[in-house]
Amino acid sequence: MALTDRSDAELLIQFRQPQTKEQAFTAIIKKYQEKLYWHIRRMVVDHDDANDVLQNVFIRVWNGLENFREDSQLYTWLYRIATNESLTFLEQQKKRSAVSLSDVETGLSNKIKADKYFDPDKLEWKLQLAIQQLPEKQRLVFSLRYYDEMPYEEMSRVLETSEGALKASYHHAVKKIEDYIKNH
Amino acid sequence: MNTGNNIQDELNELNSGLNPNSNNTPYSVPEGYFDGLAASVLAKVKGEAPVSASEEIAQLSPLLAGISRKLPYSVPDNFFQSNIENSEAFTSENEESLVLSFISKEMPYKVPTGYFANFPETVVEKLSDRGTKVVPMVKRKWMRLAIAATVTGIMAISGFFYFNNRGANTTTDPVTAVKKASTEELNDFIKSTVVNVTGNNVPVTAKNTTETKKLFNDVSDKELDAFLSQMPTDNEDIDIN
Repeated sequence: MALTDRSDAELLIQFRQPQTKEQAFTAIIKKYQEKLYWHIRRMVVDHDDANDVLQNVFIRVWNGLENFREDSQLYTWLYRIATNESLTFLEQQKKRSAVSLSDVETGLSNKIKADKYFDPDKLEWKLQLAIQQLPEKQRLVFSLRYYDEMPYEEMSRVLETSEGALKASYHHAVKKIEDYIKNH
Repeated sequence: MNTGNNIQDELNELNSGLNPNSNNTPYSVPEGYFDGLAASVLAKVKGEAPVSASEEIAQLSPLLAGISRKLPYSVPDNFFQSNIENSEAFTSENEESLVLSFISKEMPYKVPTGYFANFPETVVEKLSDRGTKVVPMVKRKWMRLAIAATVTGIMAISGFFYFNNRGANTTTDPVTAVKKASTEELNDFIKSTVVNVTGNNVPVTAKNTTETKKLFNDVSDKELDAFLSQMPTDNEDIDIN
């Protein structure tokens, strides 16, 4: 059985043993890299930025996995780290460029438009532009629910927000996206 | 008890023209309302039960539900390797919805070729580099405190010795110091010191007197008188140097 096919619990046990630690860590990366990559990229848009954030996420995982308490799922914990790292990255970008949030959002929309595969007539791209119009938190909620189909209960643990607030946030996000698509 | 008759009697007493036997109400209910009521109440009761994302978006926004969730971002060849087919991000469960069924959930962004294949090695390499990272000493609090304590200690000890020695120099008796000094030290001191001797302060020792007498043995009194007459008187300074 390949290491990546092993359950999270098995991988955690192997990670705690010095002789299999690196192997288990590599397996964890292989298992979750794509999900986390897309979650991050939907937030930061640019591939290089997503790559930097993803690497930082796994470095944090390496440093913290030893003390990871298994009262939450590994998957939830990884998403929380990825979310926090993405938000920190966006925050740093804001500080670095000393611009307002709306300018950063415009910047993200411009990054989408600058993509060499960008096609303004395609609904998929229009949807991406619509998502970038949302406030950060709503963007996160929409991304986790719509693309990752994460249950609210789990999302509540990732974002440390009540399920009710998340539902309301998702509903607002959907309405805003719908309006954007209809009007563009 | 006959409720109908009581109401009739009451209406008669009030001289009302209303017919109490008429059950016709002006209100109407939507067609099939009562048929669906039980299901509707049950759905509300189960409201707390998780609803799938697809059902939810279909209820919330038929427009979005009709768009395919596939993202328009493209990825480089072999980017997802074997995992791409299994990735939940690429499955579409919104075909029944109107709007979202037209939008693919696949991200339209591209990723460099082989990115995911090489990513674990990149991270492990980065972690190895971090292992040799030089940590600044002053970063640790206890180290800073230790350095501060050492500097303070050195200053205190230096100060103590400096002031003590200074006090001892000022109070030492010169006679005691000369007594303590070795002969060599005294000779060195005399050699290195220029002494000006004038007039009456010329030291006359026994050795000098004998030598002088020997020197003057061959000199006649006349010559000595002539010499003395050329010499200055007692009140005049004699420079012997």
